[in-house]
This record gives sequence, C-alpha cells and structure tokens, in this order.
Amino acid sequence: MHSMAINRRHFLTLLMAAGAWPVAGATTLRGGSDPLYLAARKQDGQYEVAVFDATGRDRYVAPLPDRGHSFAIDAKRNRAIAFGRQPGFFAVAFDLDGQRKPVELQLAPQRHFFGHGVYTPDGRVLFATENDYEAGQGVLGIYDVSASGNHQRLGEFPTAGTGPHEVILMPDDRTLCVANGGILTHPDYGKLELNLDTMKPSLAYIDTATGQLLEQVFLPDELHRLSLRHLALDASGAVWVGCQYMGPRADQPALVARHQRGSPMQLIRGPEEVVRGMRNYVGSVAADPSGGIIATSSPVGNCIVFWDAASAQYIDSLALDDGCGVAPAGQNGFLLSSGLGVLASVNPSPDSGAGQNANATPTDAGLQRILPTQAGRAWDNHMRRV
Amino acid sequence: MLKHYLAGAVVALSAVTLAAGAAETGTPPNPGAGLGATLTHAYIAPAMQNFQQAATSTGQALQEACGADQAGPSDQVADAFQNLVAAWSGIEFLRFGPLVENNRFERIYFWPDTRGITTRQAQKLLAQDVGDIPDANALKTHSVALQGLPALEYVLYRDNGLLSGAQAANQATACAYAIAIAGNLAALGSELVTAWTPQGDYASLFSNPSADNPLYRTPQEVASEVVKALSTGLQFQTDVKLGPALGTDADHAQARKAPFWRSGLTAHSIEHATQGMLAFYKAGGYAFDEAEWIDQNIQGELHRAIAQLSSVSGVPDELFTQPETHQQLVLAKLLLANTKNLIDQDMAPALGVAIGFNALDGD
Repeated sequence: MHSMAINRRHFLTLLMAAGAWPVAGATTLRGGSDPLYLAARKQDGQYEVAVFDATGRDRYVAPLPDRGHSFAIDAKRNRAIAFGRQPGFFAVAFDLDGQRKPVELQLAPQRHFFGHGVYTPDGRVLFATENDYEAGQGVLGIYDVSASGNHQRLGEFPTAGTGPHEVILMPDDRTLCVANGGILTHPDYGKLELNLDTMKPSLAYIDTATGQLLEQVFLPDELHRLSLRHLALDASGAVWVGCQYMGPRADQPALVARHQRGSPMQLIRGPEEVVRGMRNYVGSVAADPSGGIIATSSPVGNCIVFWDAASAQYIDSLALDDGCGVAPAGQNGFLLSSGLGVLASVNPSPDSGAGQNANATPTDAGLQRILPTQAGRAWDNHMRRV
Repeated sequence: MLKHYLAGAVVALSAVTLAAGAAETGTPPNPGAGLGATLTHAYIAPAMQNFQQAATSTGQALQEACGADQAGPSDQVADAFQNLVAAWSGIEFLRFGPLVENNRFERIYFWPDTRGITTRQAQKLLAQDVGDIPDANALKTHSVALQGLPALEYVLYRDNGLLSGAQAANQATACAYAIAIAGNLAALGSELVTAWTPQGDYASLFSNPSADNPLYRTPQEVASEVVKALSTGLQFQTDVKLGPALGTDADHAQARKAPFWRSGLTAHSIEHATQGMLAFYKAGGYAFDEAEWIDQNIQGELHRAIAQLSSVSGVPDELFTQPETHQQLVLAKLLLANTKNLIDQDMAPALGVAIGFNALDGD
C-alpha cells in the first residue's frame, strides 16, 4: 500500500504536468475503417495506457499509477476507462484523443477493482468488477459516467459469487454477464488464492437496471477449481469463456467453454496436445470481426488457439511467446500482442484444416509481425478494439 | 537507509563468498538433464520424510502427555510442534504436484485465513464432548481449516490451550482433537513420502522428462518448475508471511497477521523455509558458466536472511511492533525479495527458463 501511495503521487504529478499526451503527428484520430486499439503496457519502465492503430502507431499515451489491465470502452463518446490489474486500486477515465485530462475514479472503502468493466450503451452508467474483500464477495461497482456525473460511485450490485473478473454486456444491451472466477483473494496477500478447497466459479447474468440475478450457471463439482475468467461474444450471441485451472497441473481439463442462455455450460476441449499446450491457463478471449472465430491466448503455454464459434470445433494453434492480447482485426482475423513487445496480425481460416496440425508443436506460420520483440516494451494481458 | 546498508552488505558479501564458492563448483555442467532426479534424491524425498516423521513425533508426544495423569502436555509437545513447523516450512515451497493434489497444502496449512475460519470452527469443535471429536481418519472429511497446523497451533497455544499450563475444562476434548490433527498430518505426510520416493509416481515424472511424459517433456520444463517453486516460495515469505504483519512501519505493524504468532514461531517458520529453499537450491548444483556471481549472490543473500531471522528474538506480539526487531524483519524481507529477483532475472534465463510478463502469475 505504501509504494502505491508514492506511485499515485508520482502519477498525479505526471498527469498535471506533461504526462498525458496526444502523440505528435497524430492529426486525425480515426479515418474511415481504420480501427483503434487500447492496451496497457510497460514501456521503458513506466506503466501506461496506449491508444494505437493497426500499424502499431501510438495515437495517445497516458501514464498509469501501476500496472493496468483491461478497459471499459465507450466508442460513441470517444472515451474509455483503464482499470488497474487486480488487486487494482485505480481506474482512470480518459478521452481517446486526449482532449480532456484523465480523471481517476473514486473507489469505495474496502473495495478494489479486478481489472474489467463495461459502459451501458447510453453512456450513463459504468459497471466495474470489484472485490468486497472483507466479506469475500464479488460486486459490480456502479458509477455515474453521464456528462454531469463526475464518475460518482452510485452503489453496487452483488455478482452472486467470489472473485468476479471480466464483465461484458449482452447483445440485448441490458443484461450483464459476469465471470465469477470463484477465487477468494484479499489485497493484503496480493493475488494469493485463499479458498482453493472451496472455489465455486460461475457465470452470472445480471440485469443492468435492477441488479437482479437472471441466471447463473455453475461447473460440475469435479471442476470446482476451474476459474471462469475472460469472456467474449460470438456472432450468435453465445458467451465464450476462457478459464484458468487452479488444480494440479496433471489434470489438464478443458479451458474453453461456451454458454447460451438457458442451457448448461458446454466445455470445449480440442485435441489433447492443444489442451496440454495451453498449460491450464487462458489469459484472454476475443472473437474476430465476423464473430465466427474465437481466439484464446495462453501466455503460460506461449500459444494462441482458434476455435470455430458455430461448431465449437478446434481450428488451429499458433506459437507466440508470452502472447496474451487478442482483439478483432479491422476486416478479418485478429491482432495479437505479447509481453515481449510484439504486435502481430493473423487471419486463421475456419477451413484451414480442423485439427490438421493438432499433434504438432504450434509454429508462428501465418503470423504477420507489425512491431517486433522489443526489450523495453511489454504489452499487458488485454488488447481491446475501440 | 536500510537499502543503502543492504547494497553495501551485498558487495562485501560477494567478495567473501567468491573464495568459498570456488570450493563448491565441482558440479555437473549440464543444469537441465537429471535435475529432477537430483533434487528428488538430495532434497525433496528426505524433506517429505522429515515432515512425516515430525508429524508422527508430535502425535506421540501428545499421546504421552495427554495420557499422563492430568498433567497436560509438556515441553516435549512444544518441542515436537516446533520441529513440525520447521519440517513443514522445509516443504511448503514445493507447491506443485503432490502438495497441491487433493487439497493437501490447504489441509496441512490453511493460512492466511483472512476470515478467521480456523478459530471459529475449532472453537465449535472444542465445545463438544470428547466422544464427538473425529479421529485422524474422520478428520479428513471435515473442513480443511480444521485439519492442519493452524488448528493444532490454536488448540495448543490459545488462551487456556493445552500448553498454557492452565487446566481447561475440556482438556480431554482438546487432547483428542490435537491427536487427531497430528494423525491427519502424519497421514498426509505418508502420502507425500509415497509420491516423492525416488520410484514414486510423481518423482518418476519429475525425474524423467520425455516426449511421452504428461507433465515434463523437457529438462527445461523441470527447470521451470524448480525456478517457479523458488520464486513463489520466496514471494510467499515476503509478501504473505512478512509484508502484511510488518505494515508500513513498527507503529503500523499487525503482528497477528504473521504466521504462527500464537506459538511465537513466526521467525522460526520463515527461517526454516529459507533454509529449505537454500538446501533445495544447493541440491541443484547449478553451474552458471561465466556467471558464477549468480550462484554466489543467491546463496549469499539466503545465508544473510537466515542469519537475520535466527537473530530475531522477543515476545511474539512485540516482534513486529518493536523498532529493532521490526527492522531486522524488514531487512530479512529485503534479502528474500532480492533473492527472488536474482532467481527471476538471472537464474531463470541462465537455465533457459523464460518468465513472461503475462505468464508469471494469474490474471
């Protein structure tokens, strides 16, 4: 906590001085179909958030007080919120073009952020996954992000579980889907898991207007240590889940799941060699622009695995050392980022031969490098397309 | 100021250990091949046996003390418990394979317990008649919080506990429960010993990386497990055992967030964990060509941390709040954190192990 206070002072100084800056030469923010991306990174020893285009050119960079994680994005109003990595004690609201000074959200006492959040489509409310850590309960912090709201915290909804991680908005624009990872943590002990024996992860669907728990799905008991963490929607509106297994490494359960409202959760395993290669860890999940292909990254297994959304079949794997960020590309395929500084694109084809190289060690064939490995640059877990 | 002192000390130490280190460099040049077998034989298997035996001895000491006419447990029990904490600390950082299967880690050591579950559940159990206390075998079906060292420490060292000298009304219940916990720990120890005997299931996997090994395909994967065990083991000492109790300074310390504060074995547990990690590290016999300083610095820092921890003494509740002992513990924490950096930044790459920005811990 102590170093955090120092970091924060330093951060505020940076913000007040020349810290947050639109990058020189970035005249237009967005041109036509050229999408923008957001990612937290460590650049030359500094934690920061970067807004950049698909060529890897920075458009706007702002410092963060500590390591960042993911974002809530309000593309219509050209703004976003960067959340601190769990246990996160900061969230910073900023304009994508850096027009206004970034603003820090005020966290409630005895709460911290888990690193994810989502705006409502009308731009009035923000929901952020938070830890009520003395009670050991997950909550969604509710913030007034309307023009006059000053990012006031309005209250919270329970997530009906412990350790909520990613929250997304469902296609009905009214229902939230929360991945309750099931892991009890307390900021005194960082990310140490305090309840491995009694974990009970779940997906919870929650009404944005009332906080009512509309539906909750659990895993079978024998998979109670399979933490549900990251989420993405496919073209059909089904939720894809990336999991992290907290049990013995030898177990190697399925790490990817798909869920349709009203149905049980479908665990998607893929070839054994692929499951093994993911090392019980998925760090990020994204759908391609069509919503037909899902990418799941494993920075522990140094691979990205692609799945056909409609059939829930394995498509292909790609090697990328410490690769974690996955986001839809502009037209087809994905943009990928790694902790070693790489930014790359890939365009997996759904008929590139399901399972053809399933028994081979994945290679980086098909990977187009946009930015190379660079010692001073580490992209954080998540990369999001605006 | 501490940091400044530390930097000077490290430089001085490096000069001293340069000569000493030369005598120990007759180690195999190939750090990957055979590492798992070497570590199993030289450290892991004996350490597991040590834990199993310490748990058995604790059970015997309790049996004797509880069986003796109303005298209540004795110094032998306290000694046995102290040995048991040391033995546990020597395997606590081996948090992979057998120790994470079947919730064994939590069953032995459900800690930190931020919601006070152990105390609450143990109080409830201790309020029952002796006939309602589960035996060692039945205990394994109860909550993990009731099964291990924190629960045993509570029974022994709480107010009017078995070692308090006071005769509590429910002495027989407390004895039965303590004996059950010791028996459960001995049983868990036996399982660990079985898994880690050189021909045991897990030891075989750990010792023989190969293409058809489901866990370890290459020597690098074994080395990766070793590096991770040391790195996270050190972090457990600094960030979990020491950090929260130390607070920002002695005035803001919270001694009861420390491990084994009731029994006064806080520094003892960290010292023995550090000794264990040093012995585990040395058993690997790593030869860092052209970079012997890595080995010297890791060993030097661990030796210095052990010296600091062994010199800490005082009333348990005051270790963290008295400026002098607080400072000793802060220094030990810095030395252990520095060792973790050496492991992550120098030892890992030298063994061909990559620790990714996004792969080091879960998000």
